Amino acid sequence: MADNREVRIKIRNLKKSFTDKKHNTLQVLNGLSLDVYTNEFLVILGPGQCGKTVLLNLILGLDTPDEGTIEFSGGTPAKGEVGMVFQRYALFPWKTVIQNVEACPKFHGVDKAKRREEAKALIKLVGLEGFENAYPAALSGGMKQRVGIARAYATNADIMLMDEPFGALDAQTRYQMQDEILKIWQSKMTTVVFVTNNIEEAVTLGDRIVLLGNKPSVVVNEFVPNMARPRNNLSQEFLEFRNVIADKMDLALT
Amino acid sequence: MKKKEKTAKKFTPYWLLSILALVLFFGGWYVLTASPDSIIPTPADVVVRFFEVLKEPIANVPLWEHILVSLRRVFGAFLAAAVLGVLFGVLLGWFKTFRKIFYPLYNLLRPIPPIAWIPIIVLLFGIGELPKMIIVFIGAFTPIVFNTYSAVLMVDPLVLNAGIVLGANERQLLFQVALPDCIPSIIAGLKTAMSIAWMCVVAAEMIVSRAGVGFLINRGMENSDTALVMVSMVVIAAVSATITFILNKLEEVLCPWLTIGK
Ligand SMILES: Nc1ncnc2c1ncn2[C@@H]1O[C@H](COP(=O)(O)OP(=O)(O)O)[C@@H](O)[C@H]1O
Ligand SMILES: [Mg+2]
Repeated sequence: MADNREVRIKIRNLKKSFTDKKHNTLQVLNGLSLDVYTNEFLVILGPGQCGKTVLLNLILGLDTPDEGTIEFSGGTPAKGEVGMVFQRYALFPWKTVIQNVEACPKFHGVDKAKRREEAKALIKLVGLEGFENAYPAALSGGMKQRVGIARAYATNADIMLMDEPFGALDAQTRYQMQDEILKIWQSKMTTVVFVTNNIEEAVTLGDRIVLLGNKPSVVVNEFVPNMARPRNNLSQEFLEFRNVIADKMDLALT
Repeated sequence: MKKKEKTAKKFTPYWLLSILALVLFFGGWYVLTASPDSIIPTPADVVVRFFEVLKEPIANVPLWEHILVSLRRVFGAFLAAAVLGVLFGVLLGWFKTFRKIFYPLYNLLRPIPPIAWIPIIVLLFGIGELPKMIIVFIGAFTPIVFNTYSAVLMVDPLVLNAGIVLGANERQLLFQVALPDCIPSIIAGLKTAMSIAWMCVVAAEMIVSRAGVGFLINRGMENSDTALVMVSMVVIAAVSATITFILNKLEEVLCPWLTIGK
């Protein structure tokens, strides 16, 4: 099935290390290869510190790999042409909700009336109507990340990177946000690369799940949960799939 | 969660405690100075002297004009220090080459107390308005630079990354991401600078001047008019408190996001 799908991002043999002041080298990515297909919901599952954020930063062009290539179908996007939802929200505290959401169009010089209108629609999409003029400090974690999602979609990019976006939320909010992110993904037709360290979240969301090992990391396994959505995390099928991944993850970590 | 906090909070009349402290202070002052041979005036003496000073000019200058003269020196120098200090701080924090060139020099001069410059400044610029303003400028410039510089250097890298990822160019990154993030620290620096500016103006005026609140203190000292010294001190405190109040209001207006949930 995967073979006749269009590849949106082609990552080959990616290597990345960091060297500190004492000349100790930390190899983080060790020849990672990966295809991201157009409009899929890809989950990258990996333990903490394995290099997931480093990988996303390389895809975003915030950092450069030591070796290897990242190719996008249709050419490397400029800054502001790939959406990013950050692990710790990274909202602009001095901007209101609507000002945060319209940040990208503002940087790009889109005129105010137009970007306001688009921002309002996105705020509605993420369920924050009525909070347009609130500051992030006044919002709960779940609401902050809704702003983060709306802000990323305001780029109008067709690729969305999400770095453990629900990692800091309580379980109940997390489930709710998982439902909503799927709805948004389906309504907007985007390629999503969703990073998590939570197996259940991976099985709930992914079209495809790519498992990374401990650093120096490579892709150690790939899973395709052929289950209809919404997935019931108490169903036999779900639990079995979960256990299969858990076993492989334990193996990968030892 | 917020509700719980509110109901759990017991009613404590904090303002009563504040008043208690004031009463103890002035009461103590009175008790310690009430005897007729006390060399320090009582609070009542100071109030009486204050109303006298309101009526009769000192050194041919009425009280309000002494205050105005000092205010003019402080604000002139403070404004210049604010503009140049923020500019210098941003350049230090944002541009690595600039930092490498000027930071060691700045760091070397920074610990010199502004008052220590007085002899050299007087030597170079005489005793007019300019030298006094230069002293105040030196005092105010240093904390403004320091706060601005450290704020720019410490902008959350995650927030900067967010700006880059959302397509901000280098100029937008500085003016629309980094600097807004620094406003609270810059304002904190301005507040510190304002109180230092007051200290400096008083010190400069005590040494060389014919008007201003520092001059009043000096005149009181020369004439053994301790009540006048204390009137001047009260005036300085009152003007300082007013300016701090205004700066706090300014902060509320400029940084509305800081007052959320507080
Ligand atoms: N800029 C950097 N300099 C040095 N080390 C880094 C840098 N960025 C990440 N690392 C290291 O790389 C490893 C992987 O980090 P990261 O990608 O953030 O992990 P995670 O999978 O939890 O997102 C960590 O050990 C981290 O300390
Ligand atoms: Mg991470």
